[in-house]
Amino acid sequence: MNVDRPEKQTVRKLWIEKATAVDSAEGHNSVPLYLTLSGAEGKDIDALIAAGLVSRADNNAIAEVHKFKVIAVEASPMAVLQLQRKFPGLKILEQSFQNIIHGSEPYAWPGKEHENYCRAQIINLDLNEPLRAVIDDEGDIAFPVLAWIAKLAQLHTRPPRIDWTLCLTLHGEILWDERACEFVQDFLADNFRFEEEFALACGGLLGADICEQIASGAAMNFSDLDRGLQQAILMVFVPKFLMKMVQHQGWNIDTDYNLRYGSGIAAPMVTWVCQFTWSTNAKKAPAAAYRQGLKNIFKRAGEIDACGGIIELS
Amino acid sequence: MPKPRNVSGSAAASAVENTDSGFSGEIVVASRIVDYLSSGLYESPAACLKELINNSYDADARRVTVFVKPDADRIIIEDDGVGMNRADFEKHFTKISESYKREDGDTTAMGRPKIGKIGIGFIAANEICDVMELFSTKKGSKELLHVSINFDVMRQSVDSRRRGDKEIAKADYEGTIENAPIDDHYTILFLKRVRGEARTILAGAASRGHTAGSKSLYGLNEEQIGAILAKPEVDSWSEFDSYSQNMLQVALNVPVQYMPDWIPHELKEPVRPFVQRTDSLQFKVTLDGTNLRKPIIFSPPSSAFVEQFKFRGHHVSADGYFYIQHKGIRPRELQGLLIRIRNAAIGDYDQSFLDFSSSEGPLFQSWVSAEIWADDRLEDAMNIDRKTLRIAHPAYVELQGAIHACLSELIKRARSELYGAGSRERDAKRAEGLVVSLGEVAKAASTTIGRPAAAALVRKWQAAGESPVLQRRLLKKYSVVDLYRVVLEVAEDVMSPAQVREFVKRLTERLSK
Repeated sequence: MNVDRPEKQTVRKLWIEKATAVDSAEGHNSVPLYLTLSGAEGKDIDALIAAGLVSRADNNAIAEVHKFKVIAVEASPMAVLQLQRKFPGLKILEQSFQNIIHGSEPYAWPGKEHENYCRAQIINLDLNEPLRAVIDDEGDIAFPVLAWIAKLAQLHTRPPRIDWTLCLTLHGEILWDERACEFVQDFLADNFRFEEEFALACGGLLGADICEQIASGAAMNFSDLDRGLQQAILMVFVPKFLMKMVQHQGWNIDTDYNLRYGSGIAAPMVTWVCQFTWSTNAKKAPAAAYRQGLKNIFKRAGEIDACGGIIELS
Repeated sequence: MPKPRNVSGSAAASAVENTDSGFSGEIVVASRIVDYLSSGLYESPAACLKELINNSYDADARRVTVFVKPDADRIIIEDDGVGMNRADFEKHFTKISESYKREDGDTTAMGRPKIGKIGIGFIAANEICDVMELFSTKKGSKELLHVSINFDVMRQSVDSRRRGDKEIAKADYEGTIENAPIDDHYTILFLKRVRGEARTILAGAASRGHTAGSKSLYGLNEEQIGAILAKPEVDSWSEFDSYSQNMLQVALNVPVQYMPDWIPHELKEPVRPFVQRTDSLQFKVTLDGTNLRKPIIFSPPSSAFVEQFKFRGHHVSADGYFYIQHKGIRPRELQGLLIRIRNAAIGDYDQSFLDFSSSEGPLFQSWVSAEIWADDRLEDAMNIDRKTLRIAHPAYVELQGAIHACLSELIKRARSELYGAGSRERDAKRAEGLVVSLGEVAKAASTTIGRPAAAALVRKWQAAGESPVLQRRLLKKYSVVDLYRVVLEVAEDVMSPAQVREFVKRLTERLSK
């Protein structure tokens, strides 16, 4: 079994805290509580069980009443087996999440059964991979993971609409090419110009020099920044870009946590917990909802230290 | 998918593409007859699972783990058996019906008699899924065999599947060799794209043409299942959902152990050899976390006995036990005769006891549950479906005769020991009741006949509790004719003719009211 890093334990606590809150609220029983890319060890499922959110039957299998409360997604057959051994009766989709959501294809959607799972109240995309940037069919820069999330948000708007939580964890290293860096720089620079409050908050996280460099338009290679700054760029860019992608769907997005972790030899990671709440106002006035969302990107931004403590940005 | 190749009638392996990293080919059956027989061979998903689990048993697995729930969209069967390599796969799997399963002996390295014979067991998988993925490695080998078998070809017409004169394609496969730790040995099957009806049944929901109740055994441990099955109010397995029925059917068939208290303590001795025989196989199967045990539980409502069966014939030998209890056995699925060959059951309990005369003690036949282990000679009488026997086969005929002779004797014994015992018990109770009533009659008459005479009367009949003869007399039923006969006989002895006339007149008036 992999040794569990204290930082990861903290992140898992945040997920379970959220799951507990959602479970105790009057929820939607027609959809799962929690869909997760749990990995072969299923530690977050262990934590859900320990928190009493999912019960085991007398023979240690997942209790019949909770059989579709948690859905695991795992593409490797051997990892599926390992999960199933640990949690007999657990619903596991033996596919990559990319396959389930049909990638970033705008016109391809999950089948009926998968659609229901993709409308879970909490979706935990714990991806041990960096945020990839690709060129889409129209020759534009696209971020596949963020495109999946936009599709998830769209799925949650289907009737009956379901408010949901995204838990997203990415590797904190930036591996973008020149064109992707330019795209991100332009995007951030534009936002600095039009959203003063956002620009100020970014300054607190990235430092004045980097903010100035971004705003100046001088070419930057984000991969050359030190790893802490690379994580910070993601902390700024990912929630911001997500909001832009889903702003016309009627969602108010609260970034509950926006944290980086992993120092020394540990892999640098970035993690977010974002609450998507649908409102007519947000649908009617997306710009206002967008601005409101920007304000709280940094509400609980910070760092998880090596002992697992959360240090919030001042 | 690999292209079908034309193979000659005698060709064995059918690998058609080989590279360092992968291989692929086609699985064929030797003839149209086998193709026909193996299509629709297994009537229920349980039958398919049984075959695959018995394959693990033949691979000397001590533990088989099966995962079906929550919705049976994928089934995993994992064992710790000897495993197989590419050569084994191509030898055993690519040509069904020319099985090499017993080529190197009738028993496994562990000494288990091999259940499989013609290698058709794995074809069971195509009954319930479209794709089977297999991972296997052998101890001492660093190779992990990974094969994906696609049964889509089976859904095509026979003509398009014909290969040469005699062979019919059943599936395509693609394989790779990966790395495995040298000490590992296992086989893991993933049955994917489980097909509609099978999936519905395995998941536990009611389905067309399949009787299922609402109770479920999912999530229970073996002790809890034992306690449920022991309840007299469980009339039939059909009270359980289809998932649970499958669980029970699998557990009944495969060579797993008995439950610890499956039979009352005082009846354990005659069945001990069979329990030990099963224990010695060291075979455990777990389904979704539940350790499977034979779902045979006898909890007699009153008296019961067990008779050992031993038969040495010219064409077959067999041993086993007959359990007989007072009143019908519940759940009903345990009524009848279960034949095992090489420790695997042939079908379910046969309530006809191999066509035993239905007129001979029909009541008692539902009181009997028997398990018989027949030797290999009966295997020749077994049909390819592994659940029926050819009734004209000499081994069958001989065993049938022995079973029927034994059953006749047992019915006689049941009639006298169980039914008779029950009736004696009932008589004693009735006699006790009559003596109490008689006491009331005597008490009422004591003013006329005097208390000593009344007491003597009661004492006389109280002795019926000790004397079966007196009890029979106490319980004897009299007709009016009998009554006149007795009364006149006594009256003539003790009364004058006038008194007798008056007495008879009044008695007649009273009796005819």
